[in-house]
Amino acid sequence: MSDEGQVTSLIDHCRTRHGRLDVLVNNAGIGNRVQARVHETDPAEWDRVMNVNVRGAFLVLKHALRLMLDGGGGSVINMASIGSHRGTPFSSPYITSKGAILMLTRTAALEYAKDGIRINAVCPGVIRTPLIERQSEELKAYLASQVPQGRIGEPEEVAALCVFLASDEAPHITGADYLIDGGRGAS
Amino acid sequence: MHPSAKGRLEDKIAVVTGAGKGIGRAIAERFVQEGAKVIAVTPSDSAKELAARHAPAMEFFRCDVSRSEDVQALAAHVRRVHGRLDILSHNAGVAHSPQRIHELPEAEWDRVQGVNLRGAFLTLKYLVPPMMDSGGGSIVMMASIGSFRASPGSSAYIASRGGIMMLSKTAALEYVKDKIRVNAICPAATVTPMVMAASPETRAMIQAKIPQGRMGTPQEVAGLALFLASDESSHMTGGHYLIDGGRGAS
Repeated sequence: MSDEGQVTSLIDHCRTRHGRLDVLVNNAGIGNRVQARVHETDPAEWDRVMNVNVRGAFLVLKHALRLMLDGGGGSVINMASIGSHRGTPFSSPYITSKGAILMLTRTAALEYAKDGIRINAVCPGVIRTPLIERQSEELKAYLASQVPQGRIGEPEEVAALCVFLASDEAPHITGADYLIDGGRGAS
Repeated sequence: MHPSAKGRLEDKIAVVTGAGKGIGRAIAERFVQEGAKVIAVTPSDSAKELAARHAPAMEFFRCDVSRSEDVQALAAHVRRVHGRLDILSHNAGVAHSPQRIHELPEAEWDRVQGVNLRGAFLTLKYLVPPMMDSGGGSIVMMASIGSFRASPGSSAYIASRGGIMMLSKTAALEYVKDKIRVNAICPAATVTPMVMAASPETRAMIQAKIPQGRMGTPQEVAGLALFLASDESSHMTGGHYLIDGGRGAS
């Protein structure tokens, strides 16, 4: 997604094959490979995360918006994170990228509100993704204990929120960030 | 309504306060469409006719949420007649005419906090226990974009909205282990009697500040309330959710 050529061919494919684009879920993202404090963070690692998470989200958004404008509207969901609002030590590239996604979402929402394009961010806490599933049982239990609901969220729960935001049930929701974190962000 | 969305609250018992007009009324109607049994609450008779029209799926209960005995009577009624409570949509609230702080009468401050904050506290205090006894549920508190964006001349209202949001989050943390989810909805200007009471100039000014160029409708807010009340939002609690046409983004 950080390769503009690949992004344009994706959107071109969408245009040729379907003629329009109604919903974009901008979900591609990576974490940092190593946990490190800022002064120990490798700039190459920083660039790698920023390139996929921020530049990638920008490129997909940029080209998808052109198609949505031609189609007269649409709905975009950018996958942000509770990390868009809360710091986490030893993950500066990831957390910084998620903060950026939130402000990209808000800026884009303002720019395209009059074009009938809604742009929102979803901010999950800890979700049972393959990355989390690979961790030790001890770590998973610890992560679950940090969530007031006492459990990790399911991908299907995040999907249900995306369906709601993408649907015609949410025509007045734009520029918003929707937490889905089992209560983690409340304290 | 969306055809595939039918029956998302089938057999749920729901209390909707502020059901007489505006957002609360739209929520009560939407919940009934989705199969819930709704107890429509207002301090006057304003929801009586609405409830009669939707009977037996909707019933009317007169209750001033700022009066403890009224709210206790509501909780007792819910227990006695329905035996359980699954959903609470708390919308009861009042605004006040634009005045700066030094001009705002103390009695006006007390009136607004009495309904908006004390009313929210009492409603939670007395309706959470029947919900706990039912094994859990979902509470949707009506906050506002004013929960975190100030506007001059509205000190009592804005302060109450900030309070509602943090009360909602506190309740979410306190009752999470009881499987009660608590979330706040934050609309900007919505086409309600409260907003439409403003002068045409004021309304035009409000509208111009919304990036989408229009106010929200009560039905749109009801769509979000439905999502948060339903089991589809099972991992969402302690959150506040903007529905404001982009107003909060800038």
